[in-house]
Amino acid sequence: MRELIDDYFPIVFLYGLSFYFLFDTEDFTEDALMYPKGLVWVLLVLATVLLILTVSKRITVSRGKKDEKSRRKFSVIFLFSLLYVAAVPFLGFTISSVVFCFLSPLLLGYEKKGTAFVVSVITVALIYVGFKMFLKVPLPTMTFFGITL
Amino acid sequence: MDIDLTSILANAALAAVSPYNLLLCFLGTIIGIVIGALPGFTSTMGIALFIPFTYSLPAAGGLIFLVSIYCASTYGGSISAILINTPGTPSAVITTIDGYEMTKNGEGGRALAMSVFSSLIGGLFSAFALLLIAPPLARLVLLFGPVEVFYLAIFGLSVIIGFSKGSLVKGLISGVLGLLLATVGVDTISGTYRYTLDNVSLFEGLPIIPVVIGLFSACQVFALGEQKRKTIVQDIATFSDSAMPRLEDIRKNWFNMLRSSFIGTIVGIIPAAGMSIACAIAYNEAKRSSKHPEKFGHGSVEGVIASESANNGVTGGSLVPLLTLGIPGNTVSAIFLGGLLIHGLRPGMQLFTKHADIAYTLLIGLFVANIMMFVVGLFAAKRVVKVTTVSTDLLAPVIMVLCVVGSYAIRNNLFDVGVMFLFGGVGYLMKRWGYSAPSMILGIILGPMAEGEFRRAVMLSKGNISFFFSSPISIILLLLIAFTILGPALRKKKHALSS
Repeated sequence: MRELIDDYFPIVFLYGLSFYFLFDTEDFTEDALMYPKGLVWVLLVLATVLLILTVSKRITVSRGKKDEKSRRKFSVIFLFSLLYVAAVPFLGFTISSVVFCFLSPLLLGYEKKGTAFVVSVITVALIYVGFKMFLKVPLPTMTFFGITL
Repeated sequence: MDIDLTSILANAALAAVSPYNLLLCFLGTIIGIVIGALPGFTSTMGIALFIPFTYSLPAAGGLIFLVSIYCASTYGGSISAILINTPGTPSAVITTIDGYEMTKNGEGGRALAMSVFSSLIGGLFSAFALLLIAPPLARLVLLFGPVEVFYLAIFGLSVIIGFSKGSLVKGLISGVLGLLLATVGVDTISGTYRYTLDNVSLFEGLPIIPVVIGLFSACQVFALGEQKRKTIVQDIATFSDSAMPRLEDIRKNWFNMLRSSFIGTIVGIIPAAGMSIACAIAYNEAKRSSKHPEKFGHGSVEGVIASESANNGVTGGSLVPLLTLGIPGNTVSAIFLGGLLIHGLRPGMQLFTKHADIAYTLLIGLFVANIMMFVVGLFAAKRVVKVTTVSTDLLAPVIMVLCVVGSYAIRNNLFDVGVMFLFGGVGYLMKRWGYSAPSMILGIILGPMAEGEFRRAVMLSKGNISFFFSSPISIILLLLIAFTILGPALRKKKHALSS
């Protein structure tokens, strides 16, 4: 089943995307439509060639050594990163980054809590000082009772 | 050399060695060496991650910071190749062949010393070539009209053939997807809003830097997170001999170094040829002309020298087509183009006239970056390799934090952070399914140029198709495109016939 998804899902996605780019063009002037329309047709042809090659088994997705990868760990880092990105606007960069850098290693199986905490604090402090103060790169912020975090 | 250029060069040299730029160069070198030494981390990823941080810096300083990462990460790959038998970057694969054998023979220090010295020679050679070739070549662009610039963009896109490592069809699909994604935003010619989903953040098009960070850096976080191993490597070989270059080695191998640097620079100029090819050619040439070819593969210092001179030779070479014609020589320079664009710099003649101070400071900065790489590499190589034993569970979140900061920095827009995350997922899936992320980026970067110039050329031609073949430059460019597209297939056929 997983192999089937790996082989055919991208092709289905490509067809879907092509049709979106082909049909979401109501307000386009003829001039603005010509180029993307041409590209969509090229993409459709290529997707069809890929489909034929996949069906005839001339192209398969090369599968790496499964035993070296952990689906659980992938889910943890992916979902936790997603949560982190979503939390930044609400908690601000500093708090959300310290929490993310501290908790995600522990969730991934890292055992030294003290080290994880020190690394998270030092990392965020270095980024804050280096980028915000030295390089003047703005960081995402959140204002909490007049305090910018 | 007229007096103007002399004074520009003198000012550029002074600017390149100012304490501020030297500090940036030093930081870039440290970052580059660490990234290069970490197997799985590439120069592309390093530059993608740090481009946004140059936004607030003066343009020249920011670009020096980026070239320092580029040069140092290219060299850094050899450290892990020599000490842990795992190339830190793909360009160091050839170095592994003899480098690790030397370490096993108790000559790890000698291998590291000659690796950094050869990288210095390769880097300086290519920097000199860039300084010599780029300014006159940039003048050529003045002769280009819309047709020629359109062909130039197509020539740049034909590089996709070289980027498609596994399947050509998947490589082409990735490139076309990039071109399609580049159409998102307000059409600059007709003013039409295309595929913006009524989202203000998409009116200017997909933000390139967050896309680049997602495809090359965030996807690495997911890849690191899913691996079962706790560290990147477990064992580091030790050595006891001196890690200082020996005069005897330099004296015996000076020609090998220059020849390999030359090969690297020329291959770097050819779009999409890549560092691995340069190293392979240089290694073969070194073996062919060696008095002891039988030692190659068993710990020959000549092999290490050839490979390392060649891959650092590519660095300056790959910037030649980028700075002059806007055509990236390899993936790293495609990302580097983003670094130029965020400072409002466009490749071509204007870069060497209107922004001459910045352009020449960058060129001189490349010399400084190589010297800095040599000094830092000489003393830090043995320590830097220990980074590979850091837990990946700690490393992955730190990179994600940098991705968030980097993607937010340019427009101070959290939408860009979301774009970075989305393309991180896309990059991960592309890698898993064998699609080419560099091809997609090339499409996104060159797409607007290809479309704009094509439409301008169509308007100017007034329906006369011969307009597209009217100048000698367009014919030459068409021949180059045909050669790039058909070349690999013809070589494959010739190889099949001969075997």
